[in-house]
Amino acid sequence: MRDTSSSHHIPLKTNTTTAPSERLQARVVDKYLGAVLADDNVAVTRGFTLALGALPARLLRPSVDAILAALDEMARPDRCVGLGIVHGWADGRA
Amino acid sequence: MKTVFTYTQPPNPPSTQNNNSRVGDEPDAETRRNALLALVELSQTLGVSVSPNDGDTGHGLTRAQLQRALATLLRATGDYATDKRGDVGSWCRQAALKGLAALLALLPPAAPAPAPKDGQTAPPSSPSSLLRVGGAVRAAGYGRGTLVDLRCEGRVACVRFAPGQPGAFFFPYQHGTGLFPAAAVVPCGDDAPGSPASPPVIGSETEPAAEAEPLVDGALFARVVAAALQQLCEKLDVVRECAGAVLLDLLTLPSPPLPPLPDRPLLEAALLPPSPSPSPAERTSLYKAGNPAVIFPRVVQLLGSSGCYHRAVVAGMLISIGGLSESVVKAALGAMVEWAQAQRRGEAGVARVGRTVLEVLDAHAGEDRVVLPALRTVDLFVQKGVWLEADLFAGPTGEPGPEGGGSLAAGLLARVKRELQGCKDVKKLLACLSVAVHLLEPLPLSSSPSPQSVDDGDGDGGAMRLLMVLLGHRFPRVRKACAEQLYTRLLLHGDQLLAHATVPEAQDEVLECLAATCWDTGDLAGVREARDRVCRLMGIAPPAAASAGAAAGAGVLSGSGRGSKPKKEDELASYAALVKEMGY
Repeated sequence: MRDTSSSHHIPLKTNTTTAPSERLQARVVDKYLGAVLADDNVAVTRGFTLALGALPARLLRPSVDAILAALDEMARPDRCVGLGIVHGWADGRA
Repeated sequence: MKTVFTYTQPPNPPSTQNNNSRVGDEPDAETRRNALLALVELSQTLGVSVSPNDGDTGHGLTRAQLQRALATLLRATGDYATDKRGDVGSWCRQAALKGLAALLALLPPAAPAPAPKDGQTAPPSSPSSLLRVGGAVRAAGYGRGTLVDLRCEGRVACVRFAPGQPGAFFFPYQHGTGLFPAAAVVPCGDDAPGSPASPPVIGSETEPAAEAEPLVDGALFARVVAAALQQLCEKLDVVRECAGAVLLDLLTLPSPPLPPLPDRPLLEAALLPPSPSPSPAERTSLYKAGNPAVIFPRVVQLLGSSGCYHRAVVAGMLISIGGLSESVVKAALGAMVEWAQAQRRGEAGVARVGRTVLEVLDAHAGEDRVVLPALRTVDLFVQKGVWLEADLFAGPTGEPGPEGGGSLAAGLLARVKRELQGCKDVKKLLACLSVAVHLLEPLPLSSSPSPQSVDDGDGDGGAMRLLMVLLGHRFPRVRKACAEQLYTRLLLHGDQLLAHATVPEAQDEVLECLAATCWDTGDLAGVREARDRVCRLMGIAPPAAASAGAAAGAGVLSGSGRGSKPKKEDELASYAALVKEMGY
């Protein structure tokens, strides 16, 4: 009889590979992506950008491509934050 | 009494209300750096699919995603953004370098998974990401079965064995279902678990060696190493230290998942510490604080390596040698001079550096960040003898120059002229001036002394004409520096440089004129008159006349001979006179 206990027997664990619910996805990933790409406050883009990287694998998997695209966009050397609002900062300083 | 809490969303998110911190539509280096850090952390969380194929298995990054992440990081190694805090792009470059090393370290080992107990050689790869729930799989030593489920983020495979398979005996419960590390399970080609055609024999499974394209090919790996090398040569200590650590990591990564690297022995000999298995302390101390005295002598050895490393080293050295920090300049230049002296036997190496310098100047045309240090470097190269006269004026440099010029000097002159177009930066003008002075070449006596014959813009005629233009430049400082440098040069080599002059005693007269004229006076017309006299003495057409012809660059520079210019000149002249009068 082979000893199978050492390498091939792994205790059952709860299944963590299921996809997150749509609500969770919208409240975390989509919200972060929106903040990263569109907010014109650098504190927001800095923080949410880091937060995107710190998400657990379960949340990352369904939207890897979107997240990679956003990070790629934000890492462009010529990228400006908050491209949606062009003259906002001038109003703020007035 | 029951209290009802209601939560209402604020009308605007806080970010749009706090106006003081709004800097929209401006680049932000920290955001870029954070994006790179996030990219790396994300990749580390997900891992990289073992499968080299494109099939998306839902686990880990696929090949396309990995390539995209690497491309993003590689692009970020060229982030040279600056703002009032200084070289903020260096944060991104450092993050990108560390990220590249981290991503390449993530590549799944191509080595086989550990063999089962029977000592049989394990399958060549364990493509757990190829596993498909419901597909037929084989567990070495247990026979074939159906993959029921993948658990623990794909690390555990739940396999149900058909009756008759050995696994069905080992796992009598749950209809012969057993749990395996995903690495120990390989998919089978046919979907018939336990087909009678292949009777299961314990420990006798053999796998076809799946030869697939590697996730990262050699060219990409070489580009990563070249990017790190360029940072290792550049001027910031902290970036050099980071690049050194990254290169040590890259060169000590296991080779099977990584492709073979071009010129690997050369890289290892130059960059790795002498002992074969360096201790961690030794590794950290090697590139500690980016010590230029340690790094540059090592790096110049790579000037003889293949294309991409050579180019990266030259591009980095240009920035360092032409930089401002004394220690870096000294160490880099010293290393370069020593290397050039060692290369004197065969001139090929030095000429190759020259070609690469021209390439770099072409690639970054108009970018003062690169061009200004590069011009200073060229000046130093000639002064310190990295390039001798023979190197500068040797005939064709082996490949057709992009702008027609054959020799290195002609190529450099074309670049200097291009950079001078419309340039108003005194530092850059002076740097161009010092290079142009080195490019003066004695014309052979056989060539026609007629001024029109040197109008082709190359060779000595071009360099001397350029100097004549600078001698009549709008900026007094440029005129004065030009006169000084030209005087020195003519004093030393006048007999060769003026061999073709029309007047026999031209040298003495030119020197006297250069020395006697007050070049930084506000009287531009008087200065230009003196300049024209120098031109005539040397047998060169004065630039004003030339600018009416085809030489557009000279015309723009001198600002004379154009209908639209005189008014502006007068303004400037009067302003200069005012400044002088007021004693500033």
